[in-house]
Order: sequence, then C-alpha cells, then structure tokens
Amino acid sequence: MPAAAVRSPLLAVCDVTMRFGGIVALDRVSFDIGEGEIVGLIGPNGAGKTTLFNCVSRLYTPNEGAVLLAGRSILGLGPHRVAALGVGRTFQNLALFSTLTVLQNVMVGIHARTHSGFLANALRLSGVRREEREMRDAAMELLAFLELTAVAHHPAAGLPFGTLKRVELARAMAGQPRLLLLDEPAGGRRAPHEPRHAGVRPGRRPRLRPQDRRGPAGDRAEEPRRDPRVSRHRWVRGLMAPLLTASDLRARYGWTRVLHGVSFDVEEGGITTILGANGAGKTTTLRAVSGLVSTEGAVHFAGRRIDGRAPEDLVRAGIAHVPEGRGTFVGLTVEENLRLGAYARRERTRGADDFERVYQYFPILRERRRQVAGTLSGGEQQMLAIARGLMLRPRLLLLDEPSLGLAPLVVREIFRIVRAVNRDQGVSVLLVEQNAAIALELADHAYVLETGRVVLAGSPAILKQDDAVRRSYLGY
Amino acid sequence: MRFRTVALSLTVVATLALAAWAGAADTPGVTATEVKIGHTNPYSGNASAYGTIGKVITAYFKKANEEGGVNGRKINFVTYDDAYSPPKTVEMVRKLVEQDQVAFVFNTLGTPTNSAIHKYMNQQKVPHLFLATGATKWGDPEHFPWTMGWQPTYQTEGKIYAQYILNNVPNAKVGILYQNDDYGKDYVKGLKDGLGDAAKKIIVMEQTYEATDATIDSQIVNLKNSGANVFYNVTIPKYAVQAIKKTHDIGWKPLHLLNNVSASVGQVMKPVGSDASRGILTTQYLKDPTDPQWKNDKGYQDWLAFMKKYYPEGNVEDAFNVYGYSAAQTMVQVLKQCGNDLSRESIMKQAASLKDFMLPMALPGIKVNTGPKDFYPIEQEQLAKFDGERWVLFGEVYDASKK
Amino acid sequence: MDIFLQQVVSGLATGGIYASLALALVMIYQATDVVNFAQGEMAMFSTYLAWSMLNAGLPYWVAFAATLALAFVGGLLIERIVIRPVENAPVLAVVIVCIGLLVILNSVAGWIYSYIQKPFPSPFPNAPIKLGNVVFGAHDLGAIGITLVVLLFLYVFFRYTTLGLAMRAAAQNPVSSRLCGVRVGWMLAIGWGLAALVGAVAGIMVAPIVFLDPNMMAGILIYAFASATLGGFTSPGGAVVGGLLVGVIENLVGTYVRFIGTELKLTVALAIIVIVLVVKPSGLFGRVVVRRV
Repeated sequence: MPAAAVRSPLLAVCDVTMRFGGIVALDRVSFDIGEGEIVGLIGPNGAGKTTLFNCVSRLYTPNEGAVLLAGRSILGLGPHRVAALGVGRTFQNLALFSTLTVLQNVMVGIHARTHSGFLANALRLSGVRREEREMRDAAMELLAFLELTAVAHHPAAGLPFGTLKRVELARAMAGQPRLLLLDEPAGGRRAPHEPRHAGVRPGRRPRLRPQDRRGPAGDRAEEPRRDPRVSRHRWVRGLMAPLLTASDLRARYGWTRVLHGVSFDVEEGGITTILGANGAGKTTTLRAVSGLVSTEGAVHFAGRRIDGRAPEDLVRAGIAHVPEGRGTFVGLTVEENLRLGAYARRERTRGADDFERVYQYFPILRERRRQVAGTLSGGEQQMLAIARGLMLRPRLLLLDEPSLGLAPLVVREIFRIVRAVNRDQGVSVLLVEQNAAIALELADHAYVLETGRVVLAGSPAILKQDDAVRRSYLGY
Repeated sequence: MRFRTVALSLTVVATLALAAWAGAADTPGVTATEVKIGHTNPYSGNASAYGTIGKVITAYFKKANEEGGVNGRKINFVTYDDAYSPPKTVEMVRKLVEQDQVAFVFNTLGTPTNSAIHKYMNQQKVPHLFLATGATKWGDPEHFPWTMGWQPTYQTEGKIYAQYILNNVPNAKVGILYQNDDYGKDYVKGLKDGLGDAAKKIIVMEQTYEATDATIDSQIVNLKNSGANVFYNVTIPKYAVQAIKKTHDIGWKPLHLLNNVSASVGQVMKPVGSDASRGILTTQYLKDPTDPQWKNDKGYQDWLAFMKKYYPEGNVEDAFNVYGYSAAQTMVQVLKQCGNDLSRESIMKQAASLKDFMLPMALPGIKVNTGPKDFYPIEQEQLAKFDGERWVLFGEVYDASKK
Repeated sequence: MDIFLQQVVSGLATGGIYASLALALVMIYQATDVVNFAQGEMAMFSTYLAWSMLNAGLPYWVAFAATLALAFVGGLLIERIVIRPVENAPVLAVVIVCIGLLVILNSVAGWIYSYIQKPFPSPFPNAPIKLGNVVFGAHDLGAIGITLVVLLFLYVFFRYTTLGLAMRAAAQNPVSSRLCGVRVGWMLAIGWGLAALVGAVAGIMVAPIVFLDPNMMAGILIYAFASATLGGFTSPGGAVVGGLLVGVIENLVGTYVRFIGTELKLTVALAIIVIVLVVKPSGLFGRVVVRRV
C-alpha cells in the first residue's frame, strides 16, 4: 500500500473512554507505542490500567474512541483475532488453565498462531503432527528461558503464584507477539539478586542468627531495637512461649521439594515477617501452617500441636489466613465476604459490632458493602481479604504478600492498618512479603527464606543493615 | 408286571425319540426333548407396562412343560428385554437366531420393533409368529411368508369404530390423537377407510405425539378447541392415562373411542379413576378379567388358577396377562398340530392351518382361523363401554373377514 | 384468542413441571459443577417413597414432608457414597457415575414397584377451573404455585442464611472457603441433599399429571435440560422462567406453525433455544460475572 507513506505506530490508543454504569474508568485516554518500544503505564490502584489493557486486548469494548494496531482498527475484532494479530498479554490476577500442565498452558499460547484448521487437527494429518512437535519444542525453549523447565509437566494448579506469573508470561510470549501487554508483572519476577549472596552464611555474621541453631526465645530480647513502638513490649513477650512454633517443616509439590526444614517462631502480640524472593517457599510455609499443604515437621500453636489438622479446624482455633491472590469471593458482595469471615466463630453474636469494627479500619468497604467483590479494585480487594480475616477475631493473622500488585500508596495504607490492628486488637501477625523494605519497617522479627531454607533471622533493625539483605531485598 | 411296564415305556420313549430325531435333524433349536423359542419384550423403558406379557407367556410354557410338554418336547423359552427400542430388538433377535439358535421367534412386541426385524426374519426364513402388534402389514404371506400377526389388526379395529360413528353419532366431528408411527397410522387408516367418503367432512382435526414426549396436554387442548365431539384416542398406555385425565380436567366431554392397545383396566382405566374413564368405548376380543360376568366361566376360572399357581406376582386385573396367556395357547396349538415335524416350513404351514380354534379367554363366538392366504388369526371383535368399573360388552361380534 | 390462551395456560402447566426439575439440576450444578443426569430418577424414586407412605395411610402433607426429608438425606448419602470418590476425577467420570445411578434407580424402582402406572393424588381440588373459555386443572395451577414457593424458599435460604452463604462460597472458591472454616465437602453433600429435595417436590407435582411409573421422568429430564440451558445454568430463577418458556413455546409452535404441527414441535422449540444461546451464550438469565482481570 503505497498510500500509507507515513509510518503508523504499532499501537495507537485514541480518546478511549470506558464507563461501567455511572463510573468512568477511562476518560479519553490517548497514547502511542512504536515498534520495539517499551512503554510503562503507571498509576495507583483503580486508575484504570487494567481496564485499558482489557480494551486493547478486546475483552472490553470502549464506549468511545479508537484502538489501532499497525494503523488498523481492532475494535471490530474478537479477542482471539487480536491475539492472532500479535497482541499477547498477562493478567494481574492469573488467568491460566489450572488443570493443564505448565507446558500445555504455553502450547495453548503457541496455538494462537498455528495455521492448521479444526478439520486437519481432527484428522491428525501428518503436517499437524509435525506442527505439534515444533510447538512443543518451541514451548520447551521458552520455559528454559524463563527457568521453568523443572515444572514443565506439573499442573498449573498448586504452583506458587510467582511461578505462575512467569508461566503466564511464557504463554504470552509463546504467541510471538508484536506487542506484549504486561499487567503488574512485578509480582512474578524473581527478585533482582543475582548472583545469590554467597556472603550470608550461618556463623559468619555473629549478629544475624542462623535459624537452625536458634537459642531459647529469651535470647532475642538482647538484640538491639531501633523502633521504639515495638520495643516496649519486648521484655514481656520475651519471657513467654511463642504463640506459634514451626520446626523443621518440609514440603513438596509433586516431585519438587519446596521446603527443606524451615523453623521459626511467631511471638504473641507481635508482627513476624518472612522475606524471600519468589519461589523461596514463603507461600508454602504459610500454607503449611494453616494446613493447606501437608508437611513433615511440627507446628505448635498456643501450646498445642496442629500440624496435620485440617484448615477448617485451624480456623476455629483462631488462625486466619489471608491467602495470596487475596482469595476474595468475587461473586459475593462485600458484606457477604465479611459474613463468611465470621463463619467459623463459635458464638452466634456475629452482629453489627464486628462489621463496625472492621469498617472503622476500612471505611471504603462500608461504602462498597452491597457491591459484588469482583468489581472492587485490587487494593480494595486486598483490604476486603484482610477485613474478612479480622471478622474471625483471630489470635493469629497470616498475610501472604498483601502488597502484591498494588500501588505504593495503597500498600502503605494497608500496612498502616495492619499495624493498627496488631496494636489495638492484640492480633499476632505472620507476614510473608517480597517487599522487604516495608515489611521490615513493620515487623518485630524477621526471617529470610531462600530456596526453602531459613538463611537469616533477626530483628528488622539489624537485617536492614545487613549488606546482603540490602543488596538483594532492599535495593540499596 | 412292573418290568413289563418299564420295558414298554422304554420302547415307547425310544421310538418317539427316534421319530423326533428324524423330523428335527436339521432344525436349529429342536431336539428330541426340547423346542427352543425366542422372544423379545420391553421389560424396561417407556413401554415396560407390556413387560408382564413376557412374564405370563413364560409362566404358561412352564405350565405346559410341567404337564409333559408338547408332543413330549419341553419348551425352552428364551426372552430378552429390548426396551421397545428397534435397534435393540434387532440386536436381541439376531442373538436369538444366530447364537441361541432358536427354532423360531414368537410374540415379539411392538410395531416399530417388529418392523426392524421384519425383513431379517424373512431373509433368514425363520418363523416370526403371532406378533404382539396389530399392524396390518404382518398379514402379507405373498411378500413376507415367514411373518404372521395374531390379534385383530389396528385397521380392523378402526373400521369398527367408523361403523359405530356412522350409525350412532349424527353430526359427528372427529378429533384424532395418534402416535406418529406405523401403529398410529394403521389405526387412522382403518377409521378413514371405514368412514369412506364422509371421512374428510367428519374428521376435523388430527394431532400426533412422539413416544418420547413428556406430556400430550397441548394436543388435547387443540382437539377440544377444534369443536370435535368424538375423540379417537390412539395412544399407548403411558399417554392414554394422560389423555383421558387431561380430557376430563379441561372439561371436554366427547364420545371417547380408546384403542384396544390401552384398554387394560388395571393399567389404564383404574389409575385414571372412574370419573374420567366412565363412558369410554373400546373394542374387545378377549375376556376382561375384571368383568364379573365371567366369574363362573370355565375359561376364566382356569386362567385364574393358572395365574395363582404359575404367576402369583402377576396382576389378575391386568388384561395383558390374558393376552399373553391366549397367545401362548395359540402357539402351543400350532406346535401340537406340527406333531413330530418341527421343521421351520412345517411350523409355518401349521400356523397357517388353524381352523376354528377356540381360545378359552376369547369372547364367545370368536374363533382363530388362518389359511395359506389368511395370515390374520383373529378378525372378530365386539364393542365395549366402560362403566367406571369394567368394560361392558354391547352389540354383536363384528367379523372383519366377512366384509 | 381462546385457543391461544388455552395453549399458553397449558404450556405454563407443563412448563412448571420442566421448571421444577430444571431448578434441581441448576442447584447441583451451581453447588458442585456437576450436571446430574440422575436427577430425574432421584425425583421419581422420591415420588415412589411418597406413594408408599400415602398407601400406608399417612395424610398427604405428612407424607409430603417426610418424603422431602428422606429425599434430602438420600441426596446427601448419594453424594457421600457415590459422588465423593470421583470428586477429583475428570468430568466424564462423574457423568458416567451419574448415568449409572440413573440406570440403577430406574431398575430398582421397577423391581420394587413394577412398571405398572400408578395414579398419584393431587393435594388440589379435582374440578377444573374456568376463566371465560379457558379451562385448566387446579393441579396445574397449584404445581406452578408450589414451584414458585420452592424458588422463593431457595432464594431466601441462599441469600439470607449463613449456611446458604457458606454453600455459595464453597462452590465459588473452595480454598478460600476452607480458610473461612467452611467444611466444603459437607456443603457439596448438602447441595445434593437440597437438589434431591427440590427434585422430590418436582416428582410429587408431576406424578398426578403423567402418572407414576419408573420412566416418568425420562422425557421430562430432556426438557428440564433445555429449560436450564435456556434460563442459564447459573440462575435458579432463570431455570424456572426457562421451563415455563419452553412449555409455552413448544405448545404455540405445535399449534400455530401449521406446516410443522405437533410432529416437529420439540425440534422447533429446541431450535429456538439454540438461537437464543447463540445470541446469549450464558442463557437468558445466566450471569457473566463482570470482574476486573
């Protein structure tokens, strides 16, 4: 086409407006992306980033405006056609086929660009078989590139969130897209700490205690503390037995060992954090505590052994687990989500009090209480998940990556509330985080997990000064 | 004395056995001591109400065997469930003929099911006798010399109703409900043939249903709205009860002509209740076991004794148990007439040579007659009206073979 | 006009039957993602239990309540004993188990009660109701009413009770439900129990119209599937509306589309459903959960 002398950008978004009922999610958004460019879309939660992606990948149809791919409008095309034209994407919350293996999930992505039709496939023509072999090879290559070879034949269900994020990336790349839309990929990337900090070894640093040779709980009281807000309680707590003790936890997914003997304590009334990169075993550790995965080793809660017990029973014992990916009941209203949080409570007085208490911490949920949870923004869903945990009036709150995929301001707000809950209600917290900076600011005690082992433990003040921790987790 | 008796008996047995051997050498399913008969019946599925026919036949042959069998041979009756499904019937009948090696197939039930095996039986030249269906096509010795019906045909019955309408209902407007298959169409053809030129004017509406339908309410509503004052009800029992009840429920009060297929008091008339069923007309050729006029009848008493002894779990109000009993008796009569020649040709020949054979449970005056060109064993019927309790016969015995 | 009204009323009555069974199907599907092919036979069997109790001389409503209780327990046991072991098996395995259950229940009912059709009493007056020229059975009206009452009961149960909420949660997100302390396995069992109960109501309402025999539900189940699909397999209210619509469409097509007549009315009714689904794949009332991804 000689007429198209002016080179059009790869993607042109022109005056796109998207409304949900009365809510304006996108208001005349325009920008271009050229071939080979990397463009970042930045905004707090609820800014409309995901909505915009949904418009480009044609899951939504904008009310106004145009979306051009290589100069051609794609608003008349279905999502699969857009994908075939070379637009790959990942999702903020995962959208993988949980029963398929990792390899199959990636092959689905490749399938979008194969040419053999349904009939040829059904007849298993030789060309199709060759194509399928090539697809498999290409997929394995991609998995190797993203360090996923080990889990290639594992079903997507049951893998840690971070790994799944990479699988999703692999699937998006499998289509050999010209344009790759990555929705909050940060949650899925391995923390930037290559090479592994070989310097951190048990025994080398006297003030960072290797977890394996942990002394009596009282020891830790000697460690210096910079945070006056928490040090007040230290002396009292130091004399008491921990609320939760995990010793030598070992777990595996299929043939892959994930935990190699993890031990840690959670003090009554305190905030304990477990830091670590993706794939370190943080989530599995929490799942082991709340009974979702079976483990070897022992877990004691409030003086009683609880490993091997069902999650339903542990909830009744007072352990509230806010899982990764929030675990919101997206089809239920906010209020119904909260009602479920109180489901396991023995006393039948789950009245207005509890709602009031929770709404005080999360006023936005009061406004949204009749809304279906699936329509909340990511930050609101995280708040809802924590609020649901609080409805149990738990003794111990397990939080799995509450910062995941959220804007810094929202994360800050959520952590402020967690601290308030801990202080006002005396709820002990076990927090698993990748965002080490903010977690260390909050916690009374920290553990660092690497490939299924505790490599460091100590007070946040000390960990913050550790070179390896600074390089690997804090980025300075 | 004793020795002589034994020796004599042995001689007699040996002679008989030899004779039998000679006559039966090349007929599958026939040995010196046994004749093997095949049968299919819907013991399960939508038409399983007919299942009792297979059971009563089994019981009757058991009785015959206990009384010494037929000409010294015991009847080995092999019966399979075809669920009233033609493909299944084909499968079961092929199994009977090819694996079980039966001498012949008897009283297989249903029009669509028998249609499915009609050609097969005639290609294989295996007698296909006394089918439990009234379709007209079973009496076609020229094209299908191995197939013979038993009961009065549906067309015959249709003609009787036509006669009744012409003679008794002035300004008749007939609405028809029929099952959309050969069975239903035969009934409709009989009625139309009987009505002759008047048919077009008299029949105001025809409605059909499929044997898989959930209900037939809509059809009944349409028939009522057509203004019909005669309801010609050609349905199998499952739908007959619904049709009778719905007719009653929507306040339609036509002259209700119910095909004999569903005239069972136990299966249809009783469940539906006397309010809805009173006044319905049908035709009969067998004695209704609920009719007190037969209480002291020898035929009825024998049947009742048979039921008590050989089929105690069977319902003695169910006309199907009279049906199976009578069909089995006809079969035994044919085997008796065969003597020792149980070749398939002989069996067909004897089946076509029944002369004024009287069935104890047939209505008085009704006789079984067949000939080389007459493959319709029963061709006489009488009208009956339901009085809320039982069928009351009226009018005279109508003989279709004479017209 | 009279014909039209009469056919609509008659269609609503038949549709009410489809609706009540469709409701049971949707319930199990919502709670457990299983399409229960044995639903019709479970309903049929419950109806036989009711029949036995009525025959033993129990008053109608006592037998009715007792049947519902038994059906609930029966459904619960079926889930625990038959469905539970294949819980994590592929969908096909579950379907085959359901079909096996269908055959077993059908044969056992035939064996115990014989295949002879039995009259089943209606709790409603026998006399037909007349509205102008439109006449319909009191039972038809009553059956629709009872179906609606059941629907209302279910709505209230799922919307306002904690158990109902927990059941919805368990169906949506089993892991999170466990973390809330909901015993998911039992929720599924209770779901089956409730569906069996709803099915029993359907059976007891159907039997006076089609008469009681082991195959009573065979044809109706097909229509119930059609109804549930039309209404959207995710919406109990949709199942009821779908059932009534299928009943009415089927009748009107048979009556007014002359060249089709009654012979093809089912075909045409199903074709209409297919068209609706092409336009709206989740069914008329099916929910497509709008959520941020």
